[in-house]
Amino acid sequence: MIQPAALVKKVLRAAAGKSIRSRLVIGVALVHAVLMTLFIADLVHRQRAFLRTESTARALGLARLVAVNSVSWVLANDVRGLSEVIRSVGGYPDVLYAMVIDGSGKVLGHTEEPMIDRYVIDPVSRGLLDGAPEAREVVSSATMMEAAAPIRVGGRVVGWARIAVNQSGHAAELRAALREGVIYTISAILVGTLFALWIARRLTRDLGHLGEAANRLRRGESGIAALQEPPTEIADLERAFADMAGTILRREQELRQYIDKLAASNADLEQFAYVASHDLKTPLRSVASYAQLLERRYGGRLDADADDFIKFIVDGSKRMSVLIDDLLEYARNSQAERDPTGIAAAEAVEAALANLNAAITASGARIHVGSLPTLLAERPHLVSLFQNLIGNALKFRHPERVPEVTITAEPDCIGYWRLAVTDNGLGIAPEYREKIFAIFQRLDAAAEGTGIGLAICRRIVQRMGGRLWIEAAPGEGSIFFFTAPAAVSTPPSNAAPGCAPPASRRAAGAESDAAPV
Amino acid sequence: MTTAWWTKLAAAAVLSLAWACDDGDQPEYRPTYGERPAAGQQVYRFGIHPLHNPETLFEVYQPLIDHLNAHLGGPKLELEASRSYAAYEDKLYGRHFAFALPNSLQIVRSLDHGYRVFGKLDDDREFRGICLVRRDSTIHSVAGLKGKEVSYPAPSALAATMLPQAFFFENGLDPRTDIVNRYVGSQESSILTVYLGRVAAGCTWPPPWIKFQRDNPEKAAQLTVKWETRSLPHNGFVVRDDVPEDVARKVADLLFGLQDSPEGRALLDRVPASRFVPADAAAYEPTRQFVDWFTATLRKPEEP
Repeated sequence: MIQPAALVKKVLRAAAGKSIRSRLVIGVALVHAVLMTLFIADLVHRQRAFLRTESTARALGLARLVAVNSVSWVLANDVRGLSEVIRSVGGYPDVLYAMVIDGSGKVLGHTEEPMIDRYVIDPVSRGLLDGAPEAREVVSSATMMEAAAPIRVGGRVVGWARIAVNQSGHAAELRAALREGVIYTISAILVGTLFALWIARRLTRDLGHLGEAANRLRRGESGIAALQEPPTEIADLERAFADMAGTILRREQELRQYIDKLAASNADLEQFAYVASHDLKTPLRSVASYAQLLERRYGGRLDADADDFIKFIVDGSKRMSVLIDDLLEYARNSQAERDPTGIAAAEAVEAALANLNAAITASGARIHVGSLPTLLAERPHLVSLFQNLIGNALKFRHPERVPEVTITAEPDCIGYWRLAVTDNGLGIAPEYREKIFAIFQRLDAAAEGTGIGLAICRRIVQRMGGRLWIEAAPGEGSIFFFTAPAAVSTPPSNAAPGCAPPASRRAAGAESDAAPV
Repeated sequence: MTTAWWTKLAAAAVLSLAWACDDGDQPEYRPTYGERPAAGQQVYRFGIHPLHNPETLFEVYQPLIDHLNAHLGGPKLELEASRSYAAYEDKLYGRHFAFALPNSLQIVRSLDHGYRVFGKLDDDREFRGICLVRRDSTIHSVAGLKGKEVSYPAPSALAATMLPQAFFFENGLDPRTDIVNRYVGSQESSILTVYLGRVAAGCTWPPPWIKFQRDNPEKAAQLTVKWETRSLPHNGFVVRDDVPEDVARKVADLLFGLQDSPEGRALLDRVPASRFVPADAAAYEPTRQFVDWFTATLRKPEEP
């Protein structure tokens, strides 16, 4: 069952809504209503108390007057004399009735003559006759009150003078005061509400103005129209907002300039790397060819040092050739036009495994391929991604374990898949989990490779709008995870909890999602 | 705080409004009237002729009534004064009183209205008229009053008016022609009038004069009793013929035994009286004869 207070609270909250304007108006109206009600109630109560006191004093005064003037008449049981006394007060305004009774309740004098010689027999009258012999208020109601004073002779009460006065006029005055009070209260509520509306309108107009300016700022529009004579607090807010907007616009401009410069620089660098790699390949090929020619023709005909030197030249030129190929690959991944299509991941894995066939055969590795989805990617890049990750697993195999690589996939965020390449190799310490994705970073200098493979992998994943990370522990193998967009919308209901919105990944590109896990 | 501030404020406002609108402690009241008192008890009104003003009469006689009520054991007597002889006689002759202590003249007349005499004050010598003059007065004989003003309480006051006028007549001064009679309404007024020198002499009877001497010794010292009249049977008690005999007898027994106890003697002193004694209508035959003579010789008692 809803409590009345809770119901009122609910109604008020519903009426107030969430806008400052309605809350302010409701609040002001409520405060006016409560305060004015308290004020009117206090005023009416005081007026009632005053009128009642005044009526009581008047009735008691008249009763005492009658009592004093009635002594000898009561003793003489003189109806005529008492009638004169009663008549003298009966003409007072608002006197309902006046009477003199003796100790037995017999009416000796009365403003209504038929009552004379009868007896008052009601409980109030009996209470008066049996009560203390002192002047007092006998009965009081909204419309009348009666006071009585004892008629004494030598300390003995021989009768009572009773005067009843009409209080209907007072009641009417109080009702009028209450009615006027209600009108004043309603007026105060109306005036207060109008003022509150006016104030709220001014306040919210300025706030709305600032809100529109914020929206324009969000849309990238500049220029905020100044408010017209806003209140001090709003003016402070406006100044702060204008300062903030100016700072944001200035920073945005600076950032844009930095981005443009950075993009130009990156493009130059990539172009330089590509050109440099391409141009280096020709002389390197000559160096390698002639070094190999020297090795073939003069191997064993010179001294041992010369043979070693020639061998070093041949190995160096081979490594440089691989390095340049990788650099070219890296550069191609940066420069190539994005034109992703639906590629079956299983097909890409199959191609990668074919490329790695020799290494797989040599190591005796077991490759497990789960059910893989169709991804929105470029085929060469996806093949290269799997080839790098699987090759990495073979390269950093545990010396005492037969390499085992498992490729699985499961839904990630809506429209994305999360693929995992799990191996049972050497694993990697936590502090190196990010370092391995940097270009030319090699944790084992003795290991084969250029240190570009995982950098290429991350670049490929970033281009797809996904992210790449590793979970591994030394000696316990590694799991390379990467996310990639599905070619068709994959089970949205199976989205993994805690995943970031895929759209932002797509929109943010490589930089925003480059953070490692 | 479990209740919101506005809830408390609103509750206070509503309560205060109810407080302001609370405009009546009791419903409309009008007394209820009946033909008999709520606490039914037989009441017998005891009327004493206006020896004094009502307040003084009440002070003097109410203790006696209280004493009777305390010993009657059932019926209740209620003292009733009268503001004038005329009012008293109206009530007496209208059978308003169950018991009464009228003066002698009224006793004689009440017999014709269903009352019977059952007792009287024993001090007949005290039932006489006295005439006061100022000590500095130059009047030394009744004849000296000729052409002067004389005050009396009322025309029908037997001891204070009729006996002095009869006394003047018997001493050669016709009250109808030789003096100016001033009826001033009460015994005390008659005394005060002569004290103030407005009249040459003022007539009254012993009890009011004794009381005046006690209450106003300085004023009384300036007055002197110049003449005293003959006496008649003192005031007595009558009872209306419809009062139960046992009640009348109880009241009579209590009155006649007052002198036997200190409390009773104190009550008699207030009257003042030495005792109350049984009496009947025959005891007031001298009074009847005097009234008849007075009426035949001077005037009707009710007429000035």
